[in-house]
Amino acid sequence: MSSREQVLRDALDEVRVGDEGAAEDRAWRVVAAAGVAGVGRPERRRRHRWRAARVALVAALIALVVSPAGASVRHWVADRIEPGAPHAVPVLSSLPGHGSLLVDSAEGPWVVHPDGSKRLLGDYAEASWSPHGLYAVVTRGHELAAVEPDGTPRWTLTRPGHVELARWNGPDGFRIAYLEGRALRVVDGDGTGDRFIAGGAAAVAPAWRSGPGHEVAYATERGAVVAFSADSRRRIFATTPTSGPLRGVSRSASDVGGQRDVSGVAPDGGVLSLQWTGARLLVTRGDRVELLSGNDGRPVWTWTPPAGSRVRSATVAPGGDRVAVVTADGGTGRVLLIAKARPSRVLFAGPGKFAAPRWSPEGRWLLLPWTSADQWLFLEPGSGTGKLHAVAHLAKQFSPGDPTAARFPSVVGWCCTVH
Amino acid sequence: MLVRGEDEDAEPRRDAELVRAAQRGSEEAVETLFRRHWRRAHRAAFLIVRDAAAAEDIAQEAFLAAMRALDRFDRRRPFRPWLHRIVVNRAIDHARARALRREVGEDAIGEPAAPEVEAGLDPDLATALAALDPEQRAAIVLRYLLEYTPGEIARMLELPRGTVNSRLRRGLDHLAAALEGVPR
Repeated sequence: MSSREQVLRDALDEVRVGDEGAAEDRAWRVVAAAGVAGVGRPERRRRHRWRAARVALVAALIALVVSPAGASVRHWVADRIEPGAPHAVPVLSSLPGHGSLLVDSAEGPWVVHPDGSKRLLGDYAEASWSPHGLYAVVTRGHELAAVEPDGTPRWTLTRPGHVELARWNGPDGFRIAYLEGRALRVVDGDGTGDRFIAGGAAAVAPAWRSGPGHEVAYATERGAVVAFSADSRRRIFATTPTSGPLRGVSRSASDVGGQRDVSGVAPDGGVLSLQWTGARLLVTRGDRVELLSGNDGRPVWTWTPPAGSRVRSATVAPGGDRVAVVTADGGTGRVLLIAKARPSRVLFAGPGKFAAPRWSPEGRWLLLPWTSADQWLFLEPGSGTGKLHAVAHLAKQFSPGDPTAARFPSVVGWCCTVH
Repeated sequence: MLVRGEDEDAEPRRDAELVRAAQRGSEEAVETLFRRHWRRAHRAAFLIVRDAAAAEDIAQEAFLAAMRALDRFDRRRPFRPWLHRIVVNRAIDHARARALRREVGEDAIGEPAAPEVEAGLDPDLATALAALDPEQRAAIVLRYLLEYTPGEIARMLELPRGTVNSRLRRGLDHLAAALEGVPR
C-alpha cells in the first residue's frame, strides 16, 4: 500500500458519525424488536427472543394503561405481552373487508386481492390507484405510465427529469398530478395534455380535492401548502412558508408512498403528507396535524402530539370522521384514533417504527404497517372487541426473488374492489 | 459478554461460530454479531451517502435484511463481506436516487443543503470525497475503510476486477491533492 493509500486509510479510520453509540443502540432496539433473529427457531427459543421486546413494550404501555385514554387499549396490551405472542400468521392469505391493496416493494408495485393473491405490476418504482381501481399510475425513472391491474400498460409518458409521486384525481379520473424533480405537473388521464403547474414542490405526493373542479394541493420545499386549479392554473390559496429550504429529509424504502420518512432529521414544520377530506385539507407535519379550509387555507382544526413525541403520519378515514395518527416517541411508536368530539384514543403501541396506516375502503379496518416488526396489523377500531389480525414476514413475501434485497413493503392504497 | 465497539475485524471463524449459534437460536450471538459489525457498516454507509440519518436507516435496514436471511445463510461463506455487500449496495442505491434528482437541475429535497460534517475527517478530504460518484466512493470505502482487496470488491459488487481497479485509481487520483494536506 502506497503512502497516499495509507494516509487515506488512516483518515477514513478516524471518521465518526455523530453519536454512534446512540445510533447503535437505536438500531439494535429495532433489530431486536423485529424479532428477526429467530426465523425457524423452536418455540422455546422464540419466547426468549421476544423477552426484550416485551419488556420494552410493557414499559412503553404502562403509562397508557393507567391513563383514561389508555383504558380502551388494555386488551391490546394484554394481547401483545402474552408469552408466545405475537399471534401473527406467517403468510398473507386474505384481506379483511373489501378492496385491493397497492403495495410498493423492492421488486416493484404489487396488487393484492382480497383473497390474498397478488400480482407484480412490473419493474416500476411506485404506483397509485385510479379513483375506481380500474388502473394504476406507475413511475420509473423518467417514465410515467398507466397500467391495468394485471400490469398491461395503457399509455406511457417520458419526461427529461425524474418522475415520482403521481396521483390520480377523483371521481372522474380525468387528471393525474405528479412531480418531475421539483416541478408539479398535470397530465390528462389518457396520457395527453401534459403541462407544468408550479415549481418549488417538496417531495410530498400532491393531493386532489374530490369533485369536478380539478383542484390540486401540493407542499413547497419551504413548508407552505398551495392549492391550484389544475385547469385554469388559478391559485386558490397558499399558506405561509414555515422555513427555509428543508434539508436532510430522505424518503426511504420503508416509508414511501407519498409520505416522507421522518426518522431522520426532517424539520418539525415540514409537510409530510396531504389528504383532502371533503372541503378540507389534512396537512401532516412533524409537529402537528391540521385541517385547512379548502377555500382560504386557514386552519380550522389543529392537533399537536404530546411533548416529546413527533408525528410520523396521519390518515383520514373514508367519511372524514376519524383520523389515525402515528407518533414516535424515542423508540416507541403509537397509533392514535382522533374522532370528532371524543378524546383521542391509543389503538396500538409498540417498540420501533410504524409506517403510514391505510383505511379499508369502507372505513372498517385500519392496516398498520409495523416496519420494525416486519408485520402488518389489521385493526378494527370501531368494533370495541380489540380484534387484531397480524401478518408477519412481509419483506420476504414481497421480495421473493432476492430475500437479502428485501425491504419492508409500503402500502400506498387500499382501493375499491378491482374489476 | 458483549463489548461495544469490539474489533469488527476479528477472525471470520468467530463470525462463523456466532452465525451457527444464531441459527440455533442464541440471542446473545445475534447481538454480538450486530455489535461487532454495526459501527463499520454505519460508517461505510455514511461515507457513501454523506447523510447521517440516511446512513443510520441504511445500516439498520441492511442488518434487518441480513438477520432475516440468516437462517438460510451458508455458513461456509464469510459473514462480513456478505453483510457489507448488502450495506454498500443499499447505500449506492440511495446515493444514486439522490443524484438522479440532482441530474434534472434540482436541489433535491432529499439532498442535504450542506454536506454533513464528517467528524474526524479533514474538510478538504471530505469535500473531495463528496465530489466522487457513489460507485467510486463505494470502492474507496470498501478498499480503505473495510480493507477488502480489489478482487474481493469485484466479487461483492459483481464487477470486473478491472472496473474496480479503475474506480480505485481514479478515486485516488481525485483525492490526491486533498490527501497531501491531511496531517500525518
